[in-house]
Amino acid sequence: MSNSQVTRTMHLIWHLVKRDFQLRYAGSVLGFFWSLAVPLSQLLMLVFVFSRVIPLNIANFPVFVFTGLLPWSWFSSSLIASGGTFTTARDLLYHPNVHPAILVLVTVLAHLMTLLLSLPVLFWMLYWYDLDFPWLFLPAFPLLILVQAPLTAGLSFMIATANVFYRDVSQLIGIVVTLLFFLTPIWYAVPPTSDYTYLFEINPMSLIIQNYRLVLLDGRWLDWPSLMMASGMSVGMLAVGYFFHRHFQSDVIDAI
Amino acid sequence: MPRVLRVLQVSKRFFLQDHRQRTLRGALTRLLIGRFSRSTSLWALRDVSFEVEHGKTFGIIGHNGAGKSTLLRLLCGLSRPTNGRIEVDGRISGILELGGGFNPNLTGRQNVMTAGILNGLTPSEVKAREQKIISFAELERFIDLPTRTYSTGMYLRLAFAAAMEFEPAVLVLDEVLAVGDERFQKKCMDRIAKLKQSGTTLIVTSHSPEQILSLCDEVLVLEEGRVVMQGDPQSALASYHDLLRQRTETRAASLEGKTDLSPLATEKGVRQGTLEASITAVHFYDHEDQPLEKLESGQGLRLTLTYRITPSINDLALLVGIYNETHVKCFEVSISSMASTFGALSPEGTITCTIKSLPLLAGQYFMNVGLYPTDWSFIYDYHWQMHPFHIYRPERERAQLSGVVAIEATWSSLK
Repeated sequence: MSNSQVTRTMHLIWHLVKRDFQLRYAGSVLGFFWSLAVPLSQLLMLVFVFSRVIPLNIANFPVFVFTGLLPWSWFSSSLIASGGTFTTARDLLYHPNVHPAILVLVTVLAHLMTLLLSLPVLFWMLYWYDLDFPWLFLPAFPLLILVQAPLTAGLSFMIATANVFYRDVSQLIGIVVTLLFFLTPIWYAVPPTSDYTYLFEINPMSLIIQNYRLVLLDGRWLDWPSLMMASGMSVGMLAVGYFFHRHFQSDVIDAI
Repeated sequence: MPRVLRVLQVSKRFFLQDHRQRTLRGALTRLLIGRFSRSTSLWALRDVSFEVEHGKTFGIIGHNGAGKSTLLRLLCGLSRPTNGRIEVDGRISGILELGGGFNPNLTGRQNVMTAGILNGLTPSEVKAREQKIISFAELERFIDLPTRTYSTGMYLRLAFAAAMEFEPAVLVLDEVLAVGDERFQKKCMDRIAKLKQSGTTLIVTSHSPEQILSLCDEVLVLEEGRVVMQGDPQSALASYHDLLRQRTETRAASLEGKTDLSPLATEKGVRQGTLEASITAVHFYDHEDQPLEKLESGQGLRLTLTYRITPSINDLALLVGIYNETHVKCFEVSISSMASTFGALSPEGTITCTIKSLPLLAGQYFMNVGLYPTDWSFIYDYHWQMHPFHIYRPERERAQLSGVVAIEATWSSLK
């Protein structure tokens, strides 16, 4: 790929990310602030239920929940949106310069924007609860993003492709994502002893969220073993997703 | 001359599935029944090879279903060939179907930006061309509205203006010249002529033989997915008309004895067609409803055409043309769907066409009339030189006239 081709592809991706926002929030007054509405409303409800109704007695509970919700929202909203990545983008997919991988990347990046936009809220909460500013988070955050991105992209690739042939897939994903929400330690801490600890060890999102908390709440550096484990699964998922797509690529273009 | 496009033995197969949305249930059923139910396939293109030289205008003709659209979609990269290869040197850009290209929920301006970036321009380069595109498309007042609110004409004007402004190496135009009012078409033709001059390679399809003749340097004729011939526009059009005749003859042969319409005796001229629909009578009348065989140049004419159709036919296309003795077409009008123009067709009926004034020079003329299926793929009934009429010059006329049209010229002389 020549240099100008790289810049052109970058322009294209950046434009398509902006376009994704334009399409999602066309005609609404608050615009992209709506993308913050989902994690914030979930936060309010979880904090109310688990600190007032059934207290879990976790220190700084709102910050605790939010550190889990941020990466989770990026993951879940990308997966849900990826059902339409190909089916609603006939106009783009028909274009010879658009590789399907670009569209998947755009979906994942567009939802990463939401996470980036929520960071000021997270920092404000840390300040509000009198927690030290986690300087280690600045170098750790890009690493955590790099671990989660291939996982999200790989799954999105598969969902986007499968949904072209079976519209049932996006319905199914809605259910799976809801179930996974409860199996991921977002509003609870991983119990130290349980018959089911393996559930949290094979769930890459659980490993990633625990690393977020290590840095943000405990002021410690990333836990390499669990992070390597998560990146392994993540890269594996990307490979599976990509080859799944490659196998059906020519059919996708004709079926859409 | 360098080749800008090479198509090497390209074939495209489609699997025909039922039109219902594919679901898991369908997949499970198929799995139980067996995979063979999926295997009805259609070869839309078979071994198509051709090359286009840089700067040439290349036409593709063929009747509906011959594979034109599939070929154009492959050229634009909208689909992959099942076999064979397509090599393009440079950027290829096209205006194909209405649905592709623009997102209906975004504004015209946003769509132009996307199209520009997709064509490899930077955002600032698109911005620099935006105003020219908008003014060419004449959409100044509508450019910030979602394109779903656009009319077909507005949409195509924008697509056309954008595609031409982005300077592709190869521009594919699929029947777009048939859209828009005459003034806009003229504007487009001027723009296309400029593109041709600046060395852009054009690939066009058109139903209009005149456009093919005036635009193309070379023409490819497709029939049932195969290349019938490739050559200069004249001989390509001739071969295209031959195919129409062949199809009609094949169909007529397969219908032998199945239609109760026996061919009428033809006193003069030539008659052709399957006769599933037939023209049983053609009459001319003057403005006082008197039958007429000759009329004065400039006078009006009323034409009645009586038709009969077999019950299986529910729509027809109609063609009426006036030709002079030397086979020059003076005038032609067509109705592409009689059912949508006149309402449901009865088994027998009469169509009247009133021509206010026929300003033709004196001489012998023929009213050539034809009935076709609405996709014009073969002929039901065509009367060539079967219905003559005469035009004579008014007594007062003195000057010597020649040509086709009778234009009134007034003379004076100053001494």
